[in-house]
Amino acid sequence: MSEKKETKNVFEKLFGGMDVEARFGLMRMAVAILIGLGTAIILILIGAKNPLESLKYFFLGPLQIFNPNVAKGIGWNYFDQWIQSAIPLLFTGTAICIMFSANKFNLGLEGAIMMGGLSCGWVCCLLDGDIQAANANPVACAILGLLVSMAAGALITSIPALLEKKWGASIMVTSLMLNYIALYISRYCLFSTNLRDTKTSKYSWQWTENVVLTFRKFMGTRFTLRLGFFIGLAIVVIGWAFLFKTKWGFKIRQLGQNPSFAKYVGVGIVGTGILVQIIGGAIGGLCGATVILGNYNYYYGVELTGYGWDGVTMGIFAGNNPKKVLPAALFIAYIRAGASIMATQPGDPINELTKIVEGVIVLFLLAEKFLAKTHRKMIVEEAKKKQALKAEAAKEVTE
Amino acid sequence: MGVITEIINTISRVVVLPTFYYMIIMSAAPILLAALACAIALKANAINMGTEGIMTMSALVAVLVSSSVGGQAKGGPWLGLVAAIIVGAFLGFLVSVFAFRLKIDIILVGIAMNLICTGASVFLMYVLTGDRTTTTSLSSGTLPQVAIPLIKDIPVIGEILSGHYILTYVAYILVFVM
Repeated sequence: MSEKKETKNVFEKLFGGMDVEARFGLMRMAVAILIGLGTAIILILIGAKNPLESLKYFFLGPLQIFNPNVAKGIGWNYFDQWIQSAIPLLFTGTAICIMFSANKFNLGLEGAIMMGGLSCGWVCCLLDGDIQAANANPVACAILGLLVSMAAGALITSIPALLEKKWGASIMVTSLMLNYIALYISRYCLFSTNLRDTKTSKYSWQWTENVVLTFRKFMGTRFTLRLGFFIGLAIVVIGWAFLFKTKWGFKIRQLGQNPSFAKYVGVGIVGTGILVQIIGGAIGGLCGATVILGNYNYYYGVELTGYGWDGVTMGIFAGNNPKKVLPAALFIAYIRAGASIMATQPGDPINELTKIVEGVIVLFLLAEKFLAKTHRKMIVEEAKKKQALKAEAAKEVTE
Repeated sequence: MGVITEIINTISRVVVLPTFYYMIIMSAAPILLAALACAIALKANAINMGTEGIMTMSALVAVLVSSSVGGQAKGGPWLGLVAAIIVGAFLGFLVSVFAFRLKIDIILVGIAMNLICTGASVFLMYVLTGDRTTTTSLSSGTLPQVAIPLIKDIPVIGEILSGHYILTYVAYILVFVM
């Protein structure tokens, strides 16, 4: 018997302990990602003028931690670009995981991000900007900005929740429309109030570099330490703990799985439904503030960011479990950073292909019946193996 | 208060122009067609969020086909229209395959479809024409504008109702056909 165990291959050692479902889930995810990456390779081969070079940039670009050109003041640190594009995905992914766990299809994250960025920008302008030549403590200013942005985000996503409670309006539709309301509020504030720097056409007054520096520490000239990434990590951990380790989280998941059961078991479905969206909005607002504070020292929001939709993609990748948001965000950010690095090369401005890759992966990740035959075969094999083991054990006993 | 009176003045100047109503009818047509597309899906209790992506993709295909055939002179717009309808139908078919055969929530299929189509349209445009933002380099032509015989001679109403592109009329007729 012991000899047999040793000859088991590495694959079985790694996955032998898992049950069939978990193993199949992992396999399906791997196949989906491979299909997505295969699509990317095919598209690059079709579209690029210099395919091999482009493929190298796409797959290895973001790993280039030290870009020698950056020290000379040219170009970007590609690794930093990877981390930077992962930051909003961490926030929005967690927010969507929490909201979709309760089966509330609130797509208003985009608006929450907008309002979060706007309110945070306004706070920073007032406290530490050149609008009134005010000089507050930059750290206190940043913290206050984050808090205000959370409140603003929560406020805007709670509107669809309240509308549903009061008049039964579809959350999906109202939240989609609210995105545009948030966008135009932001535009109004930029164009028609004293937030706008009168010297520019579409930027707010600047706040001091000190506020930005609390968010971004330059390690030498080459590497940037971004506080936003760590806030995002904290949000992911808190979101996971909230959803899977607290009473509230249990109620939320119960509501998502079976609303009628949740109702009769004593979960306040209205309150929980509203709470979920307030939390999601608060995280969205925080995301907007972090993006604004981590990258700019002025507010600029005349277009929707698209981060809200990224959140939906993230939620699907993570299967509504915040624990998996981190690898999902890093993966998507890696593809995006790779594509945009590739796009900086002459002859390859085709970073739109990441959208195709994301869409394809989402479709195959979600497809329940995808690889259904293999699934059945795996279950049958497992059952046969168990039966054989049982028969063997029975034989041993009789002997 | 100055702003409000200015707004009221502008509005009162605009609402008396026949062109204003002409524009309303014209710019409502695409929204109307999209709404009809969603409405027919909604009758089967399926929310097709992918309409946006399908429209983008079909529009690109229409322009590409039309210009490759030879533009306005060779009946390109009509062929483009047919190609767009075929592509739209095919993408709708894809949505239904993913939603019903592979058992995915149809809202999420729509979102994924939008992602793919917005990416694919830019990608295709870049690969085939070399442009990234518009296809102004292609001469795709337009479908004909229709002057309705009797109505076009009525002073104000003729200006408003007559002379639209043919698809505008199709959109309004479809409301009653469906």
